[in-house]
Amino acid sequence: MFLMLTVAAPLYAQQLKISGTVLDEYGHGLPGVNISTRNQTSSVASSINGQFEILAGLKDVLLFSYPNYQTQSVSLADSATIIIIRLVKASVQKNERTDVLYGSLPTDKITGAIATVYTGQLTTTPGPLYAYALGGRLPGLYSQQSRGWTTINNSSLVQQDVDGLYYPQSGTMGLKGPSDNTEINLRLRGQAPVTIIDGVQRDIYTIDPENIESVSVLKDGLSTILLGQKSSRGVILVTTKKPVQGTPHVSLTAQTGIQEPLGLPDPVNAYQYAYLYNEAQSNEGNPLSYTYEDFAAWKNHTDPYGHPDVNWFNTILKKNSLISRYSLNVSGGGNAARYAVGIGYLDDKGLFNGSNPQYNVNATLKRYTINSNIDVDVNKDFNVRLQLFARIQDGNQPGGGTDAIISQMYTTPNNAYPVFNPDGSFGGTQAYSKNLYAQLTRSGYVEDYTRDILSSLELNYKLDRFLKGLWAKVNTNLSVYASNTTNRSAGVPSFKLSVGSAGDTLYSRYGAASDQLNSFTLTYSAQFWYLQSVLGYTRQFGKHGINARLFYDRNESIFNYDLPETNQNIASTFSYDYDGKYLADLAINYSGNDRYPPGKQFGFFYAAGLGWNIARENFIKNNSGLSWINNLKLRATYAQNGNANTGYFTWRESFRINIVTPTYPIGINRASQSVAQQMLLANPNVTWEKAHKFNVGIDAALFKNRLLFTADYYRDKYYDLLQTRGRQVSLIGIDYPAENLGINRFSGTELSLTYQDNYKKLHYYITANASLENSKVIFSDEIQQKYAWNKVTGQPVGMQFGYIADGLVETQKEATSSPHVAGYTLQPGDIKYKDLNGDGTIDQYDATAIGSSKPMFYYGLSAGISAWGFDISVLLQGVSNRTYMMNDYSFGSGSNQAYTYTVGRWTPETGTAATYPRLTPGINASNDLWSTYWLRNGNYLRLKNAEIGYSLPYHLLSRLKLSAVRFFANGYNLLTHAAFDRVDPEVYGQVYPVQRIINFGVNVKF
Amino acid sequence: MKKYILIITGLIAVMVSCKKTYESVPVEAVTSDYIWDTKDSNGIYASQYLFDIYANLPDGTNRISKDFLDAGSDDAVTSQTIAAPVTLLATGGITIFNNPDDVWASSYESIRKATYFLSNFSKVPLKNVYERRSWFGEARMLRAFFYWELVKRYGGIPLVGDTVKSLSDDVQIGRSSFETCVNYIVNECDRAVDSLRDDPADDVSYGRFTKDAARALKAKVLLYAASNLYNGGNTGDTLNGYATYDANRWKRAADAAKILIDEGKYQLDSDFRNVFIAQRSVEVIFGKANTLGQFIESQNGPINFSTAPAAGNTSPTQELVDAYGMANGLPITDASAGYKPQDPYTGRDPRLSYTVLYNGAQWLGTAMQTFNGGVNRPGGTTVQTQTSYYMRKFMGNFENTAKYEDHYHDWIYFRFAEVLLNYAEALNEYSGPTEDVFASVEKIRKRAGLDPFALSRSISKDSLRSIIRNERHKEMAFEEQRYWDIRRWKIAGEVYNKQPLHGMSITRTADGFLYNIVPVLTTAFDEKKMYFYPIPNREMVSNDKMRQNPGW
Repeated sequence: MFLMLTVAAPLYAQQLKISGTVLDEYGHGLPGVNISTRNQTSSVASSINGQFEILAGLKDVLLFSYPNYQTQSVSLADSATIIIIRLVKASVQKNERTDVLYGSLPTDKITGAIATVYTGQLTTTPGPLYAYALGGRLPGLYSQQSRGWTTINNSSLVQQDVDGLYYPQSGTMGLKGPSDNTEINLRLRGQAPVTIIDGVQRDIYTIDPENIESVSVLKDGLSTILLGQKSSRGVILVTTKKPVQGTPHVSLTAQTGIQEPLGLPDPVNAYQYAYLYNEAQSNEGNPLSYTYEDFAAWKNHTDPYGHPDVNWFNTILKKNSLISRYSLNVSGGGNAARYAVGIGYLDDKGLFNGSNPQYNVNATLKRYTINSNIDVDVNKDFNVRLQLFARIQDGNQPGGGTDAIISQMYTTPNNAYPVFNPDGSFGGTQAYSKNLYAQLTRSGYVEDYTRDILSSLELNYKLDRFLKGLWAKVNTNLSVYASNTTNRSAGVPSFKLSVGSAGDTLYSRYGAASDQLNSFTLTYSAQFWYLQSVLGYTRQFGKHGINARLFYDRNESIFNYDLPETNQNIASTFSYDYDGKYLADLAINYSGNDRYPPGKQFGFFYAAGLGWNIARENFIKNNSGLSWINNLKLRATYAQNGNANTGYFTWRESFRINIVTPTYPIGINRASQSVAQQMLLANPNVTWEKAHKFNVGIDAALFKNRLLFTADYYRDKYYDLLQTRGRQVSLIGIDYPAENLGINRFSGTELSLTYQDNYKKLHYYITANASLENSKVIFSDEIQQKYAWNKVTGQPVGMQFGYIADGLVETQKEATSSPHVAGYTLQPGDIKYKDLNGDGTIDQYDATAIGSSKPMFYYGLSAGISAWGFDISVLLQGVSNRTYMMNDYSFGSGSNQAYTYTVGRWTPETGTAATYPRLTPGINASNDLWSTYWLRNGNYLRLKNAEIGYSLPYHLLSRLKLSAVRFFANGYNLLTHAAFDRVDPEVYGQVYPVQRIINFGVNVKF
Repeated sequence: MKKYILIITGLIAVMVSCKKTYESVPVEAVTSDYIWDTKDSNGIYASQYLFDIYANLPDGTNRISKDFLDAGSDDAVTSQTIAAPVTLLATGGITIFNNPDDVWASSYESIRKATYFLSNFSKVPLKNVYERRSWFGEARMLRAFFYWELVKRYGGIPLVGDTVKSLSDDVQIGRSSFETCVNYIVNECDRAVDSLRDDPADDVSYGRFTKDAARALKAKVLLYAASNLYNGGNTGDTLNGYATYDANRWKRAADAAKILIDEGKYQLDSDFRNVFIAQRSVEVIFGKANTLGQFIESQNGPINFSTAPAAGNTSPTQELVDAYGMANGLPITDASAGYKPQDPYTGRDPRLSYTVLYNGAQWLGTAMQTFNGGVNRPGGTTVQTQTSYYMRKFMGNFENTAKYEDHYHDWIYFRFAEVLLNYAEALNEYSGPTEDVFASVEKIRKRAGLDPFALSRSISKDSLRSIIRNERHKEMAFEEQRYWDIRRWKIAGEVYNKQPLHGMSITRTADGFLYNIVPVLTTAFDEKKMYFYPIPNREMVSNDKMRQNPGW
């Protein structure tokens, strides 16, 4: 049955009857697609199986348009009368409904601040976590990578591992429970967000992006109010793919990427190192460490064993490594039951260069995931949804430990020891008894396993028979998490070659040989139990829309040895709209946590929202001059939220007994006596942290929804923040507990702007977002600071304090007269500090705020074009007004490596041209201080991601019974422009480096 | 349909009403009722609480970030990088913000614990009444001990009293005068003596405070109080000492020490080295008991013994080495002593080789090589001796073994040798060179192996004072004595400011070694303020009644 919407077209002589089928990406018929001729003379909609029939002129052009799909055009030049066309999803989507906490709502009726990205923008980023793809995509969400490889928890549980045994640190914004994201720090409007996966709170960041329908950030207080005591931090909401009715949609993706480390420093060779070290010694008047003969041997490489020169970066790291991902997603079903299942596999290989014939010594990560959603309509009123998510993650690392080897690599000088001695044994000395290459290749291995199962059953019941619009929902979730390690590491000795007095060769052994271990330990265990029941009432009375809910949920979690922790929310929400024009939301939540003192566990949280869809007002709707306004909404919310930063029963005075460390061994046999200790002073008044959150925003869709615009302003006041009081008199004899004292304010502006359109056959889009984030410490219970510049109050939250460096001391006269650190004799080449209080001594009174006090500005810009089967997209991401501290002074603890930047040190010859203070061996009491000399400008702009793809034309594929084949190549961290470019602006510590990934893959759909 | 509704409603009802299966508070974090158990006639948890205070006693072994406190005196320098915290103590680098030997907060923590014990322990029905009395005495002594730790660093300090403070209590307490604090500590010692165990403690109680331990603390406190710094020699502030000199304070100190000597429960160990490694030496009055181990060796032993890896953290100075005279009892500066600068270690006071490892000394079956480029001083970036010396004291007798073995290494607070030296010093000050003074010093010299050990009876009070101080220096190196002695004698300015500290630079030549004394560290001491530590800044700004020490 064809629906002819417009038949007013005059009949031309050459009028053709065109028939055809519109297909989606899976080759299934796409119903409801609007097909029109270019001059709009006729237009039809496709039928349930995608078929259509239309009259058009001979040289006409047919336009195929469908919401959230790229509009396509077909010229009728080739006089074909049967057309089969496949539509492709648009890169930027604007959906009728938006995912919100525990459900979805019509986008037009939302008064909160929510931003969303969809699958298409997530899958272009190669990486082991979907969190890699979030940076720069969402306004208000700031991301910074902190390391390039996951952190493995190897330590076995001990009884003291009770989560939050001690008070949480002041301002802990806290993850609780296991998180699989140790690489990317995410901050939503300055707070660590709560992650909700399909309605369940869990910190899971390893879901295959192909499997994710959308990731949203809920930024305002109303959107998160149902979390009650956990609602103030904002939410990252992840929704996995839901079943779609129809014949099976199958999508198969295989991809492999090449990873290349970025920002590795360049060590100096052994000769230079020795020279610099001698200079450092002589600067301090110490005896020189190396002789002329030593220098000659290093310079000429005449004695590779006695005077080695090993670049450890080149020795134990490869230039690049591989990451492969495979995923299969199938969705389909009939009227009664639908399913969406996905399988994912990730194989990430580390950078280590070295092998052992018996076992894998590289760092590797293998991950297997299954996600399945089953959706059954038991009858027309009763719907059951079952979700199962399972994950197995197997990691491997060399026996020396990935992190330990990496940090040792940074601190081992080239001249420390040879890789091998002449007899084939590993080189080493007393100070370097652990040979790096031996740590990598001969020290066994450590495996870690993580198992995760998350299962949800959701029952939805329409109770229209009792009361029209009444419905009920029950959702239960059970999930478990366990991680273990099997430690099969071994100790490998190293040997120092020396020549005895008689000219004989002598090998002295350092480090003990030990047999390979085989120990299995539980490293983390968690289980979660969640119940949610909702009674809802959704009904339209003429122009009055009502949506009301009674809500109860209970979340019980057990971590390791902890007693279970229970959160409960008893809430009610009420939304009203008049004709979709005027929106009002009210919510109240009575929320409790059983870690608080009895009788003080529950509190009230509330929120309200207002919205005005201006575009629905008659003065716009009926004004043809304003028809370019498709949507214009003003909205505002206000809420009081909470953050349960509980600690572990810290309200209760308690003691620990039978402690074995410390111990007091008494008697002549030194019999160990366990001890008993009082824990922290109890704070019987401890309560949750709170926030007043205000958000006002505007959404606009203009020019046939081609231009989308959203702007938000927020002002969030966080108060009752836990911190220890400023005036802590030690005479009390015990540590003070954290008390609800601090007040911080975060405020800011966020903008996002999207434009997408077609130009002839070219589909293009550009979407940009920018966030300006201001923060201020309104109250911090500081001790009375002697000088105004010492004060934290009034500064941005997390402001870096330190000394103001005033260049390097140039002359002895200057050194004698300049203010200095007590007990330190200033010398030419040392950093000179500003003596703010003028007392001639550099001490804490001279420390002041040295970080950027301007609001942080972060932004992202993504753009793409597609035509003729090709598609290209890029993502630029950047941040401004950011600073970070990176003190990489000299030889650190006395044995650190020197790098090419060290060569720029001050000497009497370099004078003012020096880029680095004079060298001294070991930690320097003056130059090592945190000062502006080591403060780095953290601004950067990077080509975070780019993708190019090519989809084979449909007529080639149809013979192969495939509906889509797309080849693609994409990349991560492709180009970087950083204000301080000696290191990577995100990952700059002595940790596993950040990587550039160039990834190739193919996606097949049928 | 109804069926489903029933199921759903039922499900909710079951889940909501599901009964708690766990206790509501954690069992492992018990309340004070468990500690002061009114049913337990053995007082198990109360004893654990008491042992915790014992465990807080400071262990001087590499106490200040890997260094001995004495590496902040003229006896040693750290082998570590030049910014080792202990160096700040020797170079006048401590501030109100940074003091590596700041024990302010930790001492008050222990004081709180002891007070808490004293005010609650009576609830525990400990069956053995002698034990019960002793425990009270021990807690009292522990508290006095930690107060003493504060007084010798800061002068008069706030005395918190006998109540335990909670979060809502006022803890703004001012400082008491030095005199009040000394009297308080001495009184507490006197109060505790009667209830404490008799000496020597039985085998299972070794490591606990005894009567003589309390007397030894009292003797030491009185000796300090009589010393130049406090006995009318301070800046005039009663917080930091007595306003005027009183010779009777020396008598009190001498009397307090004499009781211990007269008691006769302890004596000198025949082997000096044995004092520090024995399972139980007859000389040790009280120390912090430690389990078997080889921590001393691994931290301070000479580097590059491949069978016995060690960090070589402590570098004794030439000043310490030179303090040891010859075995004939004469100082090396005495022309007739027989000291040869190019063969410096032959014929010396035996305690030198018990205290310091020098070039050529036998260790682990071989002769030490601390000449420049030698195995134990190879140069390069490795942490190694700065002076050509390594510390030997407290270590096992590993001269001829292949590797280190576990041994006892208690940290000794009071031993009989010190009591003798305390007595000799106090008595010499009070009554001049009397036979009692000579006898006490000679006991020390005799045990040390000096030959002849006897002193000429015709020497002056001043000469005898130098000899006593020198014996104290040699006998008690690295025992956290010298650092405090140069302060209470008010000679710290002279010691730190006169000249830099020295080490030996040894060059191997074709026919032996060339010894050359070189400076290693320039020290500094501001006499106007540094005899007392500054009250930490945090305490100053938090407590309105707190007063800072002069000059800070």
